[in-house]
Amino acid sequence: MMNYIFAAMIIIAAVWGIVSGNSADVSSAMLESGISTARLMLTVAGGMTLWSGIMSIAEKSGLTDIIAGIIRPLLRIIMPDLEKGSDAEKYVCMNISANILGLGNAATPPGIKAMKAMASQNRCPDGRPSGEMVTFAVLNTASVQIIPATVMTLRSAAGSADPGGIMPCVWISSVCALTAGLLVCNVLRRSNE
Amino acid sequence: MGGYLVIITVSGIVAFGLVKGVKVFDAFLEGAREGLYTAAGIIPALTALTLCVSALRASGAVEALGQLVAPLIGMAHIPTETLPLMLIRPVSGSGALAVLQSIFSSCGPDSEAGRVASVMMGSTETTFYTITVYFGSVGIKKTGCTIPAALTADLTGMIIASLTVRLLMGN
Repeated sequence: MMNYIFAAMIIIAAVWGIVSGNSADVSSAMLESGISTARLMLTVAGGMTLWSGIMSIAEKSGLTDIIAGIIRPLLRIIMPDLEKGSDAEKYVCMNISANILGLGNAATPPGIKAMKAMASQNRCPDGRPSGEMVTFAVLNTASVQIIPATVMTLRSAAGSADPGGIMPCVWISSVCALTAGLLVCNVLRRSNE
Repeated sequence: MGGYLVIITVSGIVAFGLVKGVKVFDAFLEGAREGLYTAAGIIPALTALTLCVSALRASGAVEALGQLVAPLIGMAHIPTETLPLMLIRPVSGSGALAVLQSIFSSCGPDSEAGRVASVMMGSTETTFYTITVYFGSVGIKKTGCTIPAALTADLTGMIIASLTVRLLMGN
């Protein structure tokens, strides 16, 4: 899919730029994009390195387990069919708590294990995912995290007076997004049954 | 307020690690190395998407699209400048970073558009990529109601983003 998106963006830019008489702007934007990438790259890489370091301390001091303990009761509500004390439940908790801490890299391996454990219990016919699997995927597409590290780093680099001021808004928005996703999930599933 | 949150998080995590007997410096280095590898991994995509995004902006096509749908997203009081971010966010994480950066340089990070874009970026994920990774790992192609649900979540997050910025940050 990215192949088409990439090509479409370049071609639209070229055609639109030439037709609307902005070709000089487009050509200088293309040439300068390498320079602006270099700047963006340094900012993003620096931010990722810093926050991965901090979050690695959090992970090693058992903060991931503490968060997993807090979310386990909530999980009963969101994924009621998930068997108590099963491997699937354990991996789901690990995945969510790593996501909350912003440890994207650490979240994926237990996430895939959770998916595999749920797939082995899946009773839906002809290659359809179970309700838990869908809910779990939706959980992972709504980024609920405490520290939006990359955004704050970019804000800081762009000269923001208060790079972290957006945090409460981010928390509220992501929880609302997740709730809406889960609601749609439930409604659609019921209407299919 | 954001300043305190950052100070408390960073110092709190280091102090908590120390209390729990973690070798905090070594743990930091280990995580930082991983972060550096992740960052290096996204550089090629970031370069490609910055090229597209800057060319599209310079061509005037983004602006034209913005004027076209302005009445629609104006109803939800979403700043028009954030439209490109809303479109690319579910599809490409690097593309979203490139767009966010261009919004910061044209409107400023503390403008209404800059703040709303920040909140949108922080409260949503690269939906299609995530779904591909997780369902791909178990060989499932029919994803049922996952995509409609996940996209509803993204749209809700984006609308609430502009709402919270207006209410909580006095824009």
